[in-house]
Amino acid sequence: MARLYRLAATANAWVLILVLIAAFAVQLLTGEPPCPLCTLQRIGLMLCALGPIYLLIGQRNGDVTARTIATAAGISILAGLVGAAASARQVLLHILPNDPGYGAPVLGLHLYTWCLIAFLAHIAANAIMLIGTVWFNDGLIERWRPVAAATATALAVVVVANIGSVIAEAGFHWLLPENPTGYLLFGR
Amino acid sequence: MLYAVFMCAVLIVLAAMWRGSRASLPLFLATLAAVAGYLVSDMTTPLNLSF
Repeated sequence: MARLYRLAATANAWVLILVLIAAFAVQLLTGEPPCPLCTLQRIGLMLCALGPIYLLIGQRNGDVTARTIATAAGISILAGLVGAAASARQVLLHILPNDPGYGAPVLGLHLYTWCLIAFLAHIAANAIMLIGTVWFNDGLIERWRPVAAATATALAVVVVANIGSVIAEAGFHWLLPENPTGYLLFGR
Repeated sequence: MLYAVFMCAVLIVLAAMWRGSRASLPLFLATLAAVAGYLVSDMTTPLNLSF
């Protein structure tokens, strides 16, 4: 059971990291920089990823406890709620008929709609993990330190890349422009 | 820049978690509260910062 939780946390973290990378890919391929709400949703995804990474870091020494699982799930659910609020706000801003939405749709839905689906799925997955602790027995398992290190490093790299992107987009302004079309740091 | 500050806070939380610091969870909650507070202020102020 502990191994299953560890595998689930690894998959959860990497799905979120890949979503952040995919958002970057859309940004670079379509030339559409993220709006302020889009950036808030990215921050929400980063905060969500801290939950499963907390569990992976906690099991570095082989220990997986119900307490660690509960804390990790709590982190994930709280972050998911904030992220879902940002996504839901953007969905509602464009819900009126004939509103084209913001940005090009991907596979039929706008990115903020996909984000809302991702946050809700993340919350549901972590709720299931919490319920599963009723069958969980604390125990020692073999260490998975390289996986924890690789996952945490991947998230850190994605966060640093997003910091660079946001600074390039905002230039020396405190806030992002409402409708960003370029990167103010480069004068565009 | 404000968003870069939020992201830096996420990095700090990640680093604190990695080091096993007891401050990691309070830092996470503070970061989450700051992001949530900013989202609420964005929704409730006349200046519409998003669309």
